[in-house]
Amino acid sequence: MAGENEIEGRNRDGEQMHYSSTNLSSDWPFNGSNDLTNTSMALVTSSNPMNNTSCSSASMIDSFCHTPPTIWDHNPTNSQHLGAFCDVNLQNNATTSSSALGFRKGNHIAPSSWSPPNSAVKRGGVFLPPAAATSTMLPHTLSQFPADSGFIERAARLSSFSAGNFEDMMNPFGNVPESSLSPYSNRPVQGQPQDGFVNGFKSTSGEGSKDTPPPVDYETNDGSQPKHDARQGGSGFSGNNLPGEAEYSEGGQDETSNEGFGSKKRRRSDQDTDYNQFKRSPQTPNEATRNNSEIQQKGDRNPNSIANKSSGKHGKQVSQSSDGQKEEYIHVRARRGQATNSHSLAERVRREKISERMKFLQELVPGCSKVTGKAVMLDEIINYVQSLQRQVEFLSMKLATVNPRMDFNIEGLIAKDMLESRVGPSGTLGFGADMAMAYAHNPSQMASIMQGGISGLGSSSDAVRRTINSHLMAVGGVYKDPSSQASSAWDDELHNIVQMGLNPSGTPINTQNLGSTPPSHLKAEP
Amino acid sequence: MSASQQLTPTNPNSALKIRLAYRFLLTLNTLNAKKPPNFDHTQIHRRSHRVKIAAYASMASVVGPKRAWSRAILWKIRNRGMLARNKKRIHRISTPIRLHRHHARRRRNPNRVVHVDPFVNSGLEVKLRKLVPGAETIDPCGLLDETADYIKYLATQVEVMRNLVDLYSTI
Repeated sequence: MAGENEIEGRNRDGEQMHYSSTNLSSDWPFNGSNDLTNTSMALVTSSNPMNNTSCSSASMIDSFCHTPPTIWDHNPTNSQHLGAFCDVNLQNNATTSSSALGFRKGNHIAPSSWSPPNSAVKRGGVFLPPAAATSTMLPHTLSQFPADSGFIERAARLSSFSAGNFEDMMNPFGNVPESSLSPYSNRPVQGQPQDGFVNGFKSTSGEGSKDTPPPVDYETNDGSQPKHDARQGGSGFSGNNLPGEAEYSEGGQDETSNEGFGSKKRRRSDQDTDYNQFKRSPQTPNEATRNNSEIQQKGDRNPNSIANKSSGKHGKQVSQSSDGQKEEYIHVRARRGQATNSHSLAERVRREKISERMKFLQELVPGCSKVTGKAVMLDEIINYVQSLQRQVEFLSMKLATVNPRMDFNIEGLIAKDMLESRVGPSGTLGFGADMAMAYAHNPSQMASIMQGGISGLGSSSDAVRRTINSHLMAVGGVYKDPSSQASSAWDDELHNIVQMGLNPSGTPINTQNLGSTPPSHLKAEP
Repeated sequence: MSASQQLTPTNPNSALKIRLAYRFLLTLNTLNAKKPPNFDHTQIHRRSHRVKIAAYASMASVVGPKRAWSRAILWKIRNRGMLARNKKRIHRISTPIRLHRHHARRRRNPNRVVHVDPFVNSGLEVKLRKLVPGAETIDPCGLLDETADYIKYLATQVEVMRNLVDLYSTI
C-alpha cells in the first residue's frame, strides 16, 4: 500500500506537473514541494502531456481502488470527479506531503505538488470534494476520468486548490454561494479567478508575470469541454473561484501596502507557502473570509503576499480604488494642510530624516550651532572633516619622529591618557597605574604590586620616565593575562623594574629589556 | 591612595578613546617592533605614512564592519598593493569603474565611481562623498549618517594621537 501510494503519488505528481506545465509553463520545478519525484516527473511529463495524462489517470484510477478507507471517509460526498481527484490528491499528499512540506492536514490537503496556489486556497475556488466522494462514487468517477484530458487538467487544477473550500465547491456545480460572491458578482467570471488561480499556482514561483497564459488556457479548457459534469463542476468551480477571488482580492486591497513586502516574501521557500496554504485548507468559504481577514492581519505573511500578488494584477485597479488611505510602509500620517500624495509623503519623510541628521551633525561639529541651512552646514562639515584629516596626517608625522624610543606598554599610555584627559596633569603616575590596573581587570592583583612599585620608585622628574617604563611594563604584563605564569612573570618583572628604576644609569638597558617583553606579551594577546 | 579608584568612563567618549588608543598603540608597537626607527628624512616620511595608515586602520577596525566607511577603509588598506599596481598599469584612465579583483563578496564596490545626483547642493555633497571613505554610493540620508559617525571617530582618533604625541614628547 505504501509503495502503491508512493507510486500513485508520483504519478499524481507527474500528472499535476503536466498540468502545470501546460498551464504554468515553468512553474513546476519551483513548486514548493521538495519532492524529487515531483521535479523529475515534471521534467518527464512536460514532453508527453497527453500520454502522461491518460496513464496517470489510469494509474490514479487503479490507485483509487487501493486508497485507504480513512481517506474516503473524510471526503465529502459532493462531486464525484473531484472527489476522486481529491482522493488521489490525498493519497498523493499522504505520500508526498509528509516528505515534502509536512502539511499533512489529513484529507483535505492538496497535493504537495499543487501546493503553490496559496491564493487558490484562499479563494473559494478550491474544491476538493474529498468529503463528498465515497467509495461507491469512486468507480463512477474513475470511469469518467480518463475520458477527458482537459477535464483532468481542470480537475487537477481545481483539486489543487483543495485547501479548504471544497465544501463550497461542492455545492455548485453551479450553485455558487451568493454570500461569497456578493460584492464581486458583477466582475467578469472567467478572467479574474483564473488570474487568481494562475497566480496562485505561480505564487510559489514568485512571479506574477505569467498570469496571462494560464488564464487563457483555463478558459479554453472550459469552453472546449462542455459535456462533462466535471466540466460543469469545473465551471462551477470557476464561478466559485470568482467569489473566492473576490474575497481575496478584497483582502489584497488592504494589503497593497504589503505588496512591496509581498514581492520579496514570495520568493521565500515555496514550502512555507505550501504549508500555509495547506494549513488553511479545510476551511469553509466563510472561514476563508475569516482567514482572509486573519491573513490580512498577519501582515506580511507569505500567503498574504501571494494573494496580493495573485489578485494584484487584476485586482489592482480595485485595490487602488479602494485604497483611499495613503499607505506607506512607514505609515506616516499626512499633516493638516499638506499633500497626501504618496510621493510627497515619502519626500517629507526623507526630508525629515535628513534634517534630523543635520541637527546631529551640528552638535558634532564644533561651532555650528548657529549655522542654519543645509548648504552652509554642509560647508562647515566638509571643512571640519578636511581639517581632521589634515590633523591626522600631521600627528602621524609627529608620532613617527617621536615614537622611536617608545616601547611603552599600551596600558601605561592609556592610563596616562586617561590621567591627562580626566584627572589632569597633576595626577601622579601612581594614579595612572592604579587606573590602568583597574582597567586591566586585575585590580586586586596588580594594585598591591603596583603600589609597591610606585612607592619604591618615587616620582621625581628624573624618575618619571623610569616610572612610566616600569609602570607600563608591569601593567602591560598584568594586562596580558591574569594567569599564573603571567603573575609570576610580573613578579620577576617587577623586581627587575624596581631595581632598575632605582638605578638611574640602567635606564636604557631597562627600556631595552623591558621593551622586549611587552611586544611579545602584546603579541600573545589576541 | 587611589588604589580602589575604579576606572569607569565618565562618558562614552572616553570609553571610545580607550578602545581607539589601545588599538592604535597596538599597531604602533608592531610597527615599531618591525623596523627600528631612524631619523632619515625619507624614512620619516615613510614612517609617517605608515603611521597614518595605522591610525586609519585602527580606527576602522575598532568600528568593525558595521559602517560603510570603516569597511571601505579596511578594504582599501587591504588592497592597497593591488590598487597601486592597477594605478600604475592603467595610468588612472578615467573609467567610471575601476578594475578590482576582490569584489566577489562585496555588494558594493567601494571603488566604483557612481554618478550620484546630488539632492540640493550640487558640488558640496560630492565633495563630502569624496572626503568620507566609502560614501560614494550611498543615498544622501545615509551619507549624513556615515559622515556623523566618521566625524565622531575621526575626532576621537585625533585626540588620542594628540595625547600620545604629548606623552611621547614629555618623556
